[in-house]
Order: sequence, then structure tokens, then C-alpha cells
Amino acid sequence: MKLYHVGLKNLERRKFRTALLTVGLGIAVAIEVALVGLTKSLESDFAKKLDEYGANIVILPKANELSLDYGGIALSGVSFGTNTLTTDDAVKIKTIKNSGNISTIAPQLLTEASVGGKKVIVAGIDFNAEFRLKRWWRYAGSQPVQPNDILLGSSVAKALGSKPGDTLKINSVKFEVAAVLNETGSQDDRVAFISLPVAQKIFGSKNELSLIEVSALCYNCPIDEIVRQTQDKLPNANVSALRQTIESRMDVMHRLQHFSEILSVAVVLFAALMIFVTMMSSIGEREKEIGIFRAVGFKRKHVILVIVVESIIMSLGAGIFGYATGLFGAMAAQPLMGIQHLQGFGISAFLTSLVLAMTVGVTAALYPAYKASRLEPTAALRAL
Amino acid sequence: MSLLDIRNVSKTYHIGQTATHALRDVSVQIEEGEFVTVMGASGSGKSTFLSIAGGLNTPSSGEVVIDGIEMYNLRGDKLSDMRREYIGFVFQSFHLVPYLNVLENVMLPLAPTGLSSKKQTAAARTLLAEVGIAEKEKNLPGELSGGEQQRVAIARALINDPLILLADEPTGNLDTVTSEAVMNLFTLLNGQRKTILMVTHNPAYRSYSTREIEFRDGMIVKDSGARAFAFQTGETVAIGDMIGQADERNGES
Repeated sequence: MKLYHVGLKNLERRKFRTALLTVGLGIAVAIEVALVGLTKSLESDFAKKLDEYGANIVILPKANELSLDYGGIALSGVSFGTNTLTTDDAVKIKTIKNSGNISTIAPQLLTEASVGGKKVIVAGIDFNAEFRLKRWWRYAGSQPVQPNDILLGSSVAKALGSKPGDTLKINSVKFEVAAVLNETGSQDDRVAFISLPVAQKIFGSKNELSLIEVSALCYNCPIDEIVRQTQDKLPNANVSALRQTIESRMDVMHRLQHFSEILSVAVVLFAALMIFVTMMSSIGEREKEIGIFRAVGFKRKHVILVIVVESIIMSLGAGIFGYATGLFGAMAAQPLMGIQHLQGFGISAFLTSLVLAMTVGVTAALYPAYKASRLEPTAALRAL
Repeated sequence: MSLLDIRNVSKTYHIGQTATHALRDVSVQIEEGEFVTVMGASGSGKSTFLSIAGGLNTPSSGEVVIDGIEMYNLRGDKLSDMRREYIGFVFQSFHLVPYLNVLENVMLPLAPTGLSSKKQTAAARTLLAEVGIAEKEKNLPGELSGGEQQRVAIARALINDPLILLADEPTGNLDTVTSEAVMNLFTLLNGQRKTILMVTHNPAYRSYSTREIEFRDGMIVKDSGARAFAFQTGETVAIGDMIGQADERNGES
């Protein structure tokens, strides 16, 4: 018989208590595993959605002259600058090494034009890309699909007195108002949007562009690296990351992560406290038995070993139970939380569960074990 | 040199402001092969004396020397080693570990040693056969009668072949017939030169011993000195037969 047999036999005998402690710690581990996994999955999904929500990289032609302003972004005058962006440049972005991180490329040609006798900014855009990028756009009418459809910003529509179904002329070309944007509070309110190829044609800009907006999936992706790779592909352009956008997204992600970490720590601490209290009361119940161990020659370290072995076995059980329960719990919660892909349930999560359970279980048992080892045999046996 | 030399041992318990003098300047020498009964009224200090002699209870003053080693001068876990190697305990309440079966209870003192499981099992089975309870090695203590539990406790006390066997009221929870059998077992062990120090209330058991010591108010008030051994070395009566016969008379199985 070895010392660990003594611990094993005690666990066998006190099945209910053993099961209770194992399940208690296991539930804490399960909550931790599920929270971490779900948060990770949620973060990933959420980040993907956030990254698709508006641009986080803007590409402008390299030029000295700043002539137009678009939403706080200073635009060089594409029509007047020496360097220009072209539709080919937009295609080149897809060839960078990190192209997998590129979600949407939205090229624009911006120019001033007379619409219905009033000067407005006309933007030639790829409607599909733009609507994907600006998911907050709401409009009256229908999404433009025909080459001669026009989408009016709310201020432009108001100024022109136009509504969906009306027709307008730009450079003698007739356009039908497909939709009017609801007020966005941004520069988009003051812009008339037409199809990019049509804009390039009627303004004689061939395949020129004023800017390219890019949405990169940048949660934990190397944004600086993407900017550098894009810059390398487009030497005549200024590629810049909208740091504020990226950082605020990362901030949201990190807050989510911190919340889940704090919750996990609280649950695990509660489990540790439960084990500590149970172990302490168990030591009280086992005084006599510990007295017997000491009387027959067990050293203090042997008593500690017996108790720690018990907690290791329980913790291992709790780790396995916790991982399995956490995984099933997360799977059950997945559809409710609208998570597409569960993440964070691999072998490393399993090993983390075991290590977490062992750390909590053994740490919580150490003081009770130490206390037990300090019991005087006579005090423990009482009969003497 | 005496096997057990107790020199000027005193023990005072402090409970709140009250000091209780359990032992007062007790000195006694026990020689190898003696069977000593320790008697006295409740509270006379005999159990404290036994626990101090067995390394379970540190005296307030004085020395306890076993086989030339001053026990309470030992540092750290050396005292535990000494208890395991030199002393076997038999308690009135048997003090078996309830979740270990009979065989495991007997092997318990060997668990911290490096002895192989095979050798531990063999040694435990030999002793269980000697105390006549081999067939119950898989039973838990709760499934045994008092006499059977005490047999297991005696086997456990003997597993390390200790120099001295300390018994605290070993018959206190047993009926007369089983008690007699246990006493015969002690006598037989003593016949094999095992030194025994036994606390008892029952004056009838004096006759089994080779020496009596009586305590009163924490002091030895009577020491009969050594008598001839009750059994001589080479006694052939099997221990198990003796207790088994007692159990049969008592209707236990």
C-alpha cells in the first residue's frame, strides 16, 4: 500500500462529498471554459462584423493640392493632381500578402457637378461595395441597380426637391432617383451617388479614382503590415489606417474580454473558497483519522501528501468534467448568442482546464492539509 | 541500559487560567521483555504517561529515552520515524481507519516506507493469520465485531515489529471472554520477548503481567518491580487459536 492509496480509498468512501466537490469545482471550470470560449467566438464574430462596418483604411492619391473635403478626410483634387488612383489600383489591393484580411474595397470618384442647376459633390461608387461598407445607410426608395440610377444624400434631395422616381440631369445625362438616404449626419447627406463607371464616363475621368476606402478584418490582424503591403503595391498613393476607428474597435473587444476574464476569476475564486471551506471542515471531521496516521508513524509531509493527493484526483476529475460541461454549455449557448463558429475549445483549452482545476483544487487544499499535519496525535485521538 | 527510561517527566495541561498537573516528576525504567500493567483511577495520569512514553505527547519537562535515544530531542519528523520503527500502539477504541479494509489497516504503518506492496501484503497476511482473522482481510472495520477489530489493531501494532507495544485499555470495549483472549495474546507476545506497557483499570489483569505500576495524582505510588515472565520464549500456542477459541465461546464469528 502506498500513501496515495489512502487518499484514493478516502475519496471512494466519501463518494457524495467527493462528487460534490468535484462537481462544484467542475462547474467553475465549465463556466470559465464556456466564458472564455464563447467570448473568444463572440469577439471573433463581433470583430468581423465591426470590421465590415465602415472603412478602416483610406487610400488617396499622392498630391500636394488639397481641394475637397470628404467627411473630415482631406481629398487631393483628383482632377488636378499629378498622381492619380485608378480602378487597376483597387484591383491591386487584392494581391497583397494579407489579402485574406481584406473584407471590402470601395473605390470612389468624387467631383463637383451641376445637378438640377445646383452645385453638389457627385460620387461615383460601386453601389454593392458601398452598401456593404455603410451598413448604417437607410433610404427611401430602392437600392440603385441600373447604370443611370442615382442615390441622393438627404440634404441634396432636399435642396433639389427630389424624391425617388424623379429624374435629374448631370452633364446632360439623365438619371432616375432610385433612393434618397435618410439623414446620416455625415458628409453623405451632401453627396449624390451614381455608378462609378458612369461617373468616370460622364466626367471623362476614364478609370481614375479619387480615393479607395478599404475595410480590413483587423481584430488581431497586423493593420500596419496591411498598410505597408498596400503602400508597396500603390507607390503613387497615400495609404493610411484610420487609427481611431481601429483602436475604438479594439477597445470594445478588450472590454468584452476583460468582462469575461473578471467573471471567470470571480467564479473560480468562489469555487476555491468552496473547496477551502469544505476541506477545512473535512479536516475537522478527520481529526481522529489524522491522529491515527500520526500515531502509526506518518510524518507531517505524509499527512499533507494524503490530503493533496485527494485534491489532485478530485481536481483532475473536475478539470475533465468542467471542460466537457463547458464545451456542451457553449454549444448549447451558441445558437442563442448567434455565434457562427465556436472557438477556443481545442487541446490547449482542455489542458488549461486541467491546470486551472488542479491549481485551484490543490491551492485550496494546501492550508487545510498543512493544518491537519500540525495536529497533535493526542489531541486528534482524544482517547489518550 | 533500559529499553525505556523515563526520567523526571512532568506534564501540565493549561486550560484557560487553570493548570492541571497530569504527571509530576515521574521516573521509571522498563527493561526489554517486561510486561507492565499501568493502573490507577481515572485522571491519575496513566494515559498521559503512556502517550508520553509512546512519543505522542511532549512532556512539560523530563526525558524519555528509548533504546538509548532521547525521543523528544528528535527534530522534525524523526519522532514520527521513531514511533513507526520502535513503537506499536493498541487503543481502547481500536482506532482503525474506517475506509480501509482489514488488510489495508494492518499495512497502514508501512505505507510511508519504501517496502514493496507485495512484501507489505505478505507481512500483513502473516500477522492476520497469527491473530486469526485472515479470512476477513477484505472486510471494513465497521463489518467486524469489537474483538475482531482489536485483533486487527494488534496486527497493525505489530507490523513494524516494534521494540515496545503500548496498549491503552485494550480490553476496555470488549466483553470478558474476548478480553481474556486479548490478554492471553499479550502474554504470548510477551513470551516472545515483546515488551508491553499496558494501561488498564482491571486489577484482574495484573496476573498476566510481569510488573505493575500504579499511578495516583500524577505520580507513581506503587511499582511491584520485575517478576518472572509468564511465558517463556518458544511458546507454541498459536495466537489465532487463542482468540478464536475466545470468540467461539463468545458467539462471535
